[in-house]
Amino acid sequence: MHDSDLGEDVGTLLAFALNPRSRPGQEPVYDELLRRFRSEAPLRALFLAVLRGLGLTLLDAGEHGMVLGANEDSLFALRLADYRQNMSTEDRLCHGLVQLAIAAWCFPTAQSLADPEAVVFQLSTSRVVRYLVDLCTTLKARGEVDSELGTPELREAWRAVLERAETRSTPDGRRAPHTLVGMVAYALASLERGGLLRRVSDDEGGTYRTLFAYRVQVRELGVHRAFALVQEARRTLGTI
Amino acid sequence: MSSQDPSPLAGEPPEGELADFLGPPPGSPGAETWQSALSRRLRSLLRTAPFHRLEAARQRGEGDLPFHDLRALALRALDATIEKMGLGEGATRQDLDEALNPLIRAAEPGIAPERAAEIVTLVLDGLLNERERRQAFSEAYAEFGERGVTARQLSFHLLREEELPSGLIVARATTEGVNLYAGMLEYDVEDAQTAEEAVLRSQIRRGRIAEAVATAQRARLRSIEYEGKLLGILQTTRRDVSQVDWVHEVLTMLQEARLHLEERQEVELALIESVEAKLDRAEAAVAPQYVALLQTLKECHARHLRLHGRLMGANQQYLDEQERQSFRPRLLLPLADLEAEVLRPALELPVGLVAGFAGRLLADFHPPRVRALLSLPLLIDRLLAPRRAEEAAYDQPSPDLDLVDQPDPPFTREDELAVEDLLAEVGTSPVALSALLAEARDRGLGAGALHLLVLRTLQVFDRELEAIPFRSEATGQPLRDPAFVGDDLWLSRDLGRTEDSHA
Repeated sequence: MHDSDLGEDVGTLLAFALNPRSRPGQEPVYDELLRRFRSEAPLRALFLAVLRGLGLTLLDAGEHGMVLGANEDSLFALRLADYRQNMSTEDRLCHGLVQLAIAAWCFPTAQSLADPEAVVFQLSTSRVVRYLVDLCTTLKARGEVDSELGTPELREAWRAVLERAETRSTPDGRRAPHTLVGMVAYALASLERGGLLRRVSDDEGGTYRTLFAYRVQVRELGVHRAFALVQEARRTLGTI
Repeated sequence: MSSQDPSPLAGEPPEGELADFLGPPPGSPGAETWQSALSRRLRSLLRTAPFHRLEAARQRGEGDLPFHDLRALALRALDATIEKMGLGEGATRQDLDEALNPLIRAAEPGIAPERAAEIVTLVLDGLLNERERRQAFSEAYAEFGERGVTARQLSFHLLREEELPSGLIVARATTEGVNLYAGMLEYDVEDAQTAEEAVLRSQIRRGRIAEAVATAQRARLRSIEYEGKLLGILQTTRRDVSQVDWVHEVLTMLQEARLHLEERQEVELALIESVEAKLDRAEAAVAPQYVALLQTLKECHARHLRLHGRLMGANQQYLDEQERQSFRPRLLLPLADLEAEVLRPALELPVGLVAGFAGRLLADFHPPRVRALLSLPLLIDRLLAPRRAEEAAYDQPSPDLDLVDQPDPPFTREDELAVEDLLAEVGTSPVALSALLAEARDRGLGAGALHLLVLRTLQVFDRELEAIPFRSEATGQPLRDPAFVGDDLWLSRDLGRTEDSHA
């Protein structure tokens, strides 16, 4: 095959892989390219080389299609400003922790992440909020003693999360982007746009189902990097 | 019969829940102690706990459902799911709604469809363990051994949802779910299948056809179960080669499975032949039962044939998968507990520190994002496209709106009546719109009524509005009217549409 033909096929496959709505089950061209990716070494090698160059990692290439991950410095990595603009320190903190909470809600243990059948979960804004608030409340009950020390930056993260939970003044959480309800709803909608969740209904502030790609994202990438980040931070603090 | 019965082929086999209390299936090695038998029976009992919890919650008044037996509905849901798995993929929510609705309506005639859907959701949530975020059901129990009592946990799933490559989400029963439904807990599928077929043979020989049909249906369940077990292993392989011990476990199992399937196919063919022979000589009264039996047997046979084919290709599939997955940048780190080892410690870190890496957290849980570039043709298409229902925008403050009085409707009731009267006079012979307008003015109709008349005439062009009993055609002349411009139209009554609208 001509080099340029191969290049075009690689490009087409990459376009499918980057589009969160593409499914090999619905697009014969995608399906065929995936099959060739598995069986033809030159196509595979070129595709993986292009991915490396773009700062992308192949996380899965099975029957559900390709799942890609972005390296930290990749052009394709989500940046804070892409996610949401003009965030305060505490907004950033809460949005980051909300992502962790959504993943932990679905896959609380290593065992649940290792279970290949654990794919489709149903979660909603209010269930995730309740989960996160409950966790913070447990921590509060445990460590109430050394409160109100130092600057706001030095407080424990759970205090900031709980404050956001309490500012839920309007009955419609969507109107208040800085409350926990608003932030969880925003996070779920953002994951849905990325093709990792599917919206089921408006119940409970937005109800979603997790898709195969979400499990791959968390299992192959999210959990490892998040664990490393938290470990590193604890090491800096000297708590481990 | 007794548990010492050396062969199930001679008499009736252990059946249903009774089987669990009769000890291990015949042919399994070694007699068991009362302790292990107790644990085995206890585990069987525990697997029904989700059903009882569902019903207990109802009896406590949760959901306000005085008329429904949720255990029965849950069993039916499991049954319908297994049936759909028999055809291949699993049950969609719609399949389950259709399966449960007749039961729900029988218990509560005249129930609103939304309410029935809520009950189906309640039942499915119970089977999926929605309360525990769809994690495995976990039942604590005591195991009695020679050294005393040990506290143990039994973890299992009954129903799980799966995403098909097409994106469709379907429910599938797990092996435990199928076992529970089949009432053959703790049995090796292979043994149960052999036993079932021996019974079937004896029933056919003795002409007990109604029983034989029931047995054949159970045998079909066994086949589905067996298929599920094997496909589960193959699927795990496809998703993650490193999770299966191919050389030691899977190859042995595949070898056994192939032998088992070859035996089954021989037996099934012999059974099909003997039923066909009997069908030829059967009396009219029992013939339909023979036909049902034959169908079930043929379905089993086809299923086994298909499975056999897949098993033959399994080893090659494994080799392909191994090659395919070898590119995966498998991090050799063990998986962490997200809740205990990541989320909790993160919540205890200082705000400043977490905020410092929050951006990276966001990126790590999101797929690569393709930045949007403005495409002029696309922009124009979008701008010209009809409005779609707006997506919920979470971070947009809602504008402050004041309540205003409802504006007057554009047309009064009198206008509407006057126009209806006028249109009622239009017959099958065409009338020009200009003539109609002139007539309306003669009758002293106001500007509002004239406007309504023109709008009603234009409605004729909407093919989807079946209720408009008119036909219209351009006259080729411009409309001569002081208030309206455009083409003049011939308007006539459309008989086809009139009848429809009366029907």
